[in-house]
Amino acid sequence: MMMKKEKYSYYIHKYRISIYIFGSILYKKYPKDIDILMLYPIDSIYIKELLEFKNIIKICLEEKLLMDVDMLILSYEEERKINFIKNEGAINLLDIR
Amino acid sequence: MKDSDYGERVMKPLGQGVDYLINLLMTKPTVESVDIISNQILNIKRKRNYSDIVLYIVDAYSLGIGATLEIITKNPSVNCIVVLSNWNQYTGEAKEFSKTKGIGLFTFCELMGAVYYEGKKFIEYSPHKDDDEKRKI
Repeated sequence: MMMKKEKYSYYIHKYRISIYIFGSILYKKYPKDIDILMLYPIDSIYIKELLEFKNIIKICLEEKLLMDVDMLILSYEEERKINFIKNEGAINLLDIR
Repeated sequence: MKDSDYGERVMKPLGQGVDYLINLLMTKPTVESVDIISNQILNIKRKRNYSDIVLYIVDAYSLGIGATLEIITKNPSVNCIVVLSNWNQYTGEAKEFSKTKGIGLFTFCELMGAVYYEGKKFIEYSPHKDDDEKRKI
């Protein structure tokens, strides 16, 4: 399964999603999996669609990278309360382009 | 009941952790047996007037409301979710959402206390609150 970059960007904007990476990929040379955090607005009317989008991202990345991908999905509000990005040292994918 | 009746899997937990969970559940006086429906779903048969628990096991850093919705939608038979590992947690929003759906959402330790309760008390089980009440009695 492949997803064109334009289509990916379209959904990222439509669903107001942010994507972060965290976990062993940030500090291990040969990580056994990749941890991805997907943030979305808690009042999103697209919740079912963005859950599907999350699963598509997982399949695309696993096919491309030949590694397990663990997707964590939280609303922006939930993330703020538990301070996940700071605690895990997660990096926004936009920042490493 | 067939495995497919429980819906699709969402996240895979660690097999070793599931074994440990089953063994500990079997030591509880309210638990009669534990059947493995799949590597993420257990049917916990309880004794006397206690109802069965259909437990969904998750290994996630932090279970949010979105993932909880996904589990409940894809696994309509489930009436309880546990975040398995010691470093796992769930968000307050996920907990409240689960309660509104009549589903218990617990950490491993919380589940070990919740199995002594039934109905609303099971779903709303909180170790500190309920243990304090027990001490008063």
